[in-house]
Amino acid sequence: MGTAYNNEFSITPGLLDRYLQRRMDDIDFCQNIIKSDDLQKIKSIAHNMKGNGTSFGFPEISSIGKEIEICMQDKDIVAIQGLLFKLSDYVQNEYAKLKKMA
Amino acid sequence: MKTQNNDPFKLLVIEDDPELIQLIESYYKPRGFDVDGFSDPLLAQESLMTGKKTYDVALVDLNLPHMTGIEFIKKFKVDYPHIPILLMTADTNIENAVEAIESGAYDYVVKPLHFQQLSLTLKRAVILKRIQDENKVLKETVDGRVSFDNYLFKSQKMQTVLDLAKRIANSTSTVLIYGESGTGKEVVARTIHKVGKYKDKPFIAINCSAIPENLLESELFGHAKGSFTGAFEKKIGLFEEAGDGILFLDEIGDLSLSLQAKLLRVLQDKKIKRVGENKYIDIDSRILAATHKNLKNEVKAGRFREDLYFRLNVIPVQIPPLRERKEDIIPLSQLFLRKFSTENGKELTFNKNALDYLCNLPWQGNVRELENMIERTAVLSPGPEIDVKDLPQLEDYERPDDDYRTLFLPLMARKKIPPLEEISNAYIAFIASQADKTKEQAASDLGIDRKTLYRKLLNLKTSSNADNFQNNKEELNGHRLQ
Repeated sequence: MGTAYNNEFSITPGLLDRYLQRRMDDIDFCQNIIKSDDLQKIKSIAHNMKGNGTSFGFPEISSIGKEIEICMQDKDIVAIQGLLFKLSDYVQNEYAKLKKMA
Repeated sequence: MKTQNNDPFKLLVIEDDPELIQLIESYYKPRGFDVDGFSDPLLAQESLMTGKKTYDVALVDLNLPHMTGIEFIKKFKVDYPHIPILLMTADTNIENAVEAIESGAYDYVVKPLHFQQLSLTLKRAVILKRIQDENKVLKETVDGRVSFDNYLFKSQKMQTVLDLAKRIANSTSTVLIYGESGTGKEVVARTIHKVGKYKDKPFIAINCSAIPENLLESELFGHAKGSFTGAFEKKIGLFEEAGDGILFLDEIGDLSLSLQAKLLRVLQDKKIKRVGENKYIDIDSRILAATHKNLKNEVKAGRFREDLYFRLNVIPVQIPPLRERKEDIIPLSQLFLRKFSTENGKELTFNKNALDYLCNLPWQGNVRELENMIERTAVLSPGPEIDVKDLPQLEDYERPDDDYRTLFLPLMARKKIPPLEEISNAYIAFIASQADKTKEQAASDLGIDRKTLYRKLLNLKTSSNADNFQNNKEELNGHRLQ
């Protein structure tokens, strides 16, 4: 379960729920378009995840987002696919933990 | 965090990720912030254009729909230059940060957001904004003291004074500035200094009525060590201090006759002698003088040297009283209100009734009285809108005792207080001489019947003191205008 960066700061489960669901949507979207030529959208989504993951208490999302951005430079589709699977597992796992706590 | 006037701190967030906006809200709202978030910059612009809300700081993401954060900042700074902006970016590329700051952002923060760090940056941005606001007010105040900016003076009468000040700024001639107390004689003097060839040279001002005569001589000319009791050190006088700049002698009409003689000598010879020294020192400063007195009358009354009067009155500049240039009352009032609002940590504005009311007050004390009144109002008014009821009421301006006191004080300064009959006669003659009054009206105003007025005027005409009376009449007239 993710915790906020600031210890004094607790994020409401509702907001975490929406955040994780949106990331799952993002991952689905990326997996669907990865074989198309529109890689710019994946780059943008990865960039956003890099920027917001840690703020919501999910440093792993920021870390994977950053790795995807790097792989985008080499257009390493295989590596990106692997990272998307890894991210998907992580987000689903976190989401399940959140639901369990609710 | 609260603003200086204890209002919630207003934060504008423009970020394409709605969850991140909610995250920022959920961090800052419990901490007393008023947060408005927009995931679309166009919606933010639309909201800002309504003008219903202003912000203390804006937090703008680099990646936005419809435009980049940099583009948004460029547009935002045109319309809201006073609101500091922080750019958020997940990009560690320094070029974006540099571009953002060049576009007008105060600073940038790197995502993921570290809220404690962000709070510190926000706090710094707010302090900057506060300093900028205060600086703006100070600058306006200083500029107001040293120059006539258009927003300060709207009247044609003051524009004429400004034009004259500009025309004479590069001359070396002596200037004599006339104006009632509080009209801004020093403002004119400083403008002459600021706009002309003297602008990079010293401007030294002294109020001749504020310093006892024996000290004034030492102030103006300096003194040698041990030249009198208490002269422990050699002192450079203001003439020397002014160098090749400007020496402004305020209230020159209050200078004693003996100092008038010394000043005349200085103006003629361009040399001074320090008190207690025999050596003459060349001086090169330009003299600007000012008075609220009618110096012609002072000359007639024997209190001011005629030769000095002519020496000073090379270029006379007359500043009209505030009541004769009512167009200036509103811009001046608003300037002073901005200044004192900031000083008191308030955001105050006048409503229309208050401004109308201010325009119709007599302002015997001119701009200085207006400034003092607005300072008092800014301190006492709960705000944010100042109404007539928050301003001193008209009856406060109609206290005859105060008026008479102001009128009589110059007479008290004379060596011998004039006898009652002399003053009474001068007053009757003055009222009767008003061009807009018939003798019937004059008699009615004076509370005497018409026949009594005629009799008194006839007595005055045949009086052996007619000349003396005329002088006193003019003197009283002069004082009335002060």
